[in-house]
Amino acid sequence: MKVELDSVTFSVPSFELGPLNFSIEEGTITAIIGKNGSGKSTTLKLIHGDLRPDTGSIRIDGSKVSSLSSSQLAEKTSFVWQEIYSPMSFSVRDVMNVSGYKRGFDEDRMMMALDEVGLASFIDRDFSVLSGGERRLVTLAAAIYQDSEIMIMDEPTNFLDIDNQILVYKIMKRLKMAGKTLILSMHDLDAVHHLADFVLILRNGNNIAWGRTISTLTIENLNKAFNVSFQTYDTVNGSSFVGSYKG
Amino acid sequence: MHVIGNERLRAFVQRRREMKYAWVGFLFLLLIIVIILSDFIGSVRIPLLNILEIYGSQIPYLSHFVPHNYTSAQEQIIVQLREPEILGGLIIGASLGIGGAAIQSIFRNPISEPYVIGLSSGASLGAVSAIVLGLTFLGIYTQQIMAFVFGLSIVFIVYFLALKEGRIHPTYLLLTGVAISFFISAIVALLLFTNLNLQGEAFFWLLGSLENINWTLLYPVAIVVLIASYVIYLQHRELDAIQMGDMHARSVGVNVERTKRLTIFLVALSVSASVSISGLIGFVGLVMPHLSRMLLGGSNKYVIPVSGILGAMFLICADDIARGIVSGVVIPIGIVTGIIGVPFLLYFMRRLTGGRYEG
Ligand SMILES: Nc1ncnc2c1ncn2[C@@H]1O[C@H](COP(=O)(O)OP(=O)(O)OP(=O)(O)O)[C@@H](O)[C@H]1O
Ligand SMILES: [Mg+2]
Repeated sequence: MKVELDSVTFSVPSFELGPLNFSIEEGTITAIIGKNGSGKSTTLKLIHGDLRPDTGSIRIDGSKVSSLSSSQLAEKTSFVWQEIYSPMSFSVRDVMNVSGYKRGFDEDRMMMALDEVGLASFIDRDFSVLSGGERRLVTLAAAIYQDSEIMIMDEPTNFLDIDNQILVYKIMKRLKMAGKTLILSMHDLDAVHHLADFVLILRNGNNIAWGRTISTLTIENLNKAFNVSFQTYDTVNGSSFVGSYKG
Repeated sequence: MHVIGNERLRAFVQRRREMKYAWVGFLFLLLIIVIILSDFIGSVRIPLLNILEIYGSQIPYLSHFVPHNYTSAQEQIIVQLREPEILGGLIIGASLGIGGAAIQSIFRNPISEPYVIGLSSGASLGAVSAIVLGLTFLGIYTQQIMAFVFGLSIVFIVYFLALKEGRIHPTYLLLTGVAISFFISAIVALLLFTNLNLQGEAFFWLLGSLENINWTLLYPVAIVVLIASYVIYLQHRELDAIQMGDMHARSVGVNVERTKRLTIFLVALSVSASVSISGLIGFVGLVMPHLSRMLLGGSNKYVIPVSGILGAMFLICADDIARGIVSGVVIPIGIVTGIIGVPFLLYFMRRLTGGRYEG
């Protein structure tokens, strides 16, 4: 399923986003990077139809997002939110069940999704007392359980320790191999470098650069997006970025 | 409750969650027992066997085979006085408990209840103006009909005042509801203030009572409450999703605005109908959903029916006390739920959760 943005702009008092022009191919991973407040979450919410663009159009699989019913939308896309609510007295199972709203209950798939993030034994635990990282993993498992073609994730690795970050990157690769389209906002540039096929770089709502990771995630572009200055260093699997702290 | 320590009780609750269906069944059975035992309470003593015979005589076809050892006075007391009052407690308690569970889900707010959307003030305005102005244009039940219609209308007014671009924002709706309630309550106070001689009757309504419920009032209310409750229950998965946030609910495929509209309408219908015959009974709608979450977890598949069962049980027991504690006098049920019900529930909640419940 393709996602196409055509001269999309959006504004609230004190913030303007766009114009955004790009199209995301099926079976790819796209990462949106930029400073806090640069418009990453806003872009994701626009793609998902939670916000309406002021101008331009957003199409998923050829049809305008604004014309999709919530039911059609849920079939095509799932969303892992940056913030995690604590619903009253929910168990992990209850949270998972919510994500199974569209496809219906399937115990096996639910357990497989939880198992993939290493939390199968948490199924009957109280969701609200889990640690931040555990809750993050449950929300990822819930998105896997929802099993939509396009998976939008807003900072999917926040709260996670290094082991679990690596686990999540592996899962993302697996999902991509399975044909899913992933659209992520991320802060870890090394992970973006190794994981993403395409990158969108934002600064103050402006599109600094969009394109294949290899040609877009460059020192020049990063220096435009952030205030610190960047350099690369070589590692076993290629170069990595580091921002210098000289300010 | 006295013999089980906190830790053991909590382990007990944990196990209970694994046998949820059994527990719903058990609570339901307990409710039936409470209903039967409540028929004993009152100034006239009637033996259990006679009560059971009277029940049997009310069941079509079975009535021929039931012995007839009771007096017609006994039958009158059970069938015309106690049964409608107890079944009224059942219906009203259930409607408040279920309404509370649904409203708390929609607002994602653990301290909301059906009354916050303007329902109670609207119903009060209807009932009090009927009493104070002596309105009878709708027959002998003008007061009840006015309470119902006003309760429902004020909810509509609140809903449409809070609507923006076809969407309802929970906190905004809550604030609108509270503001309108305050406004309407001021009008009610004005009506009472200017009609001091009628305060007694109006106050009785404002405190709530099951005493005046008869079969004529109960039948239509019961039908409304049963249908509304069933349809609310059918929304339990949507309400679960909304509890995780409106945007999340939409992202999993729930039609959020439709669910909210439908649920608010059904709660307004059911609870307005209930309070129109009982007056304002507070607290049940707020606390019963939490009690059921403590017992069986947060999924509305259980919270909705269990809140209904617990609300019914609580109200029937409170009414038993209201009828039985001082012989010959019926205390308004609002006083009983407050003075006896609240300490009991506070204690019970602390035992269940060790004071660590987060909503
Ligand atoms: N409804 C709104 N009203 C006013 N300002 C808003 C609104 N939504 C977003 N903004 C502003 O838009 C800007 C972009 O917000 P957004 O959440 O997209 O940033 P982000 O890139 O996701 O940041 P972060 O990395 O901190 O998550 C911020 O300055 C924010 O304050
Ligand atoms: Mg963000």
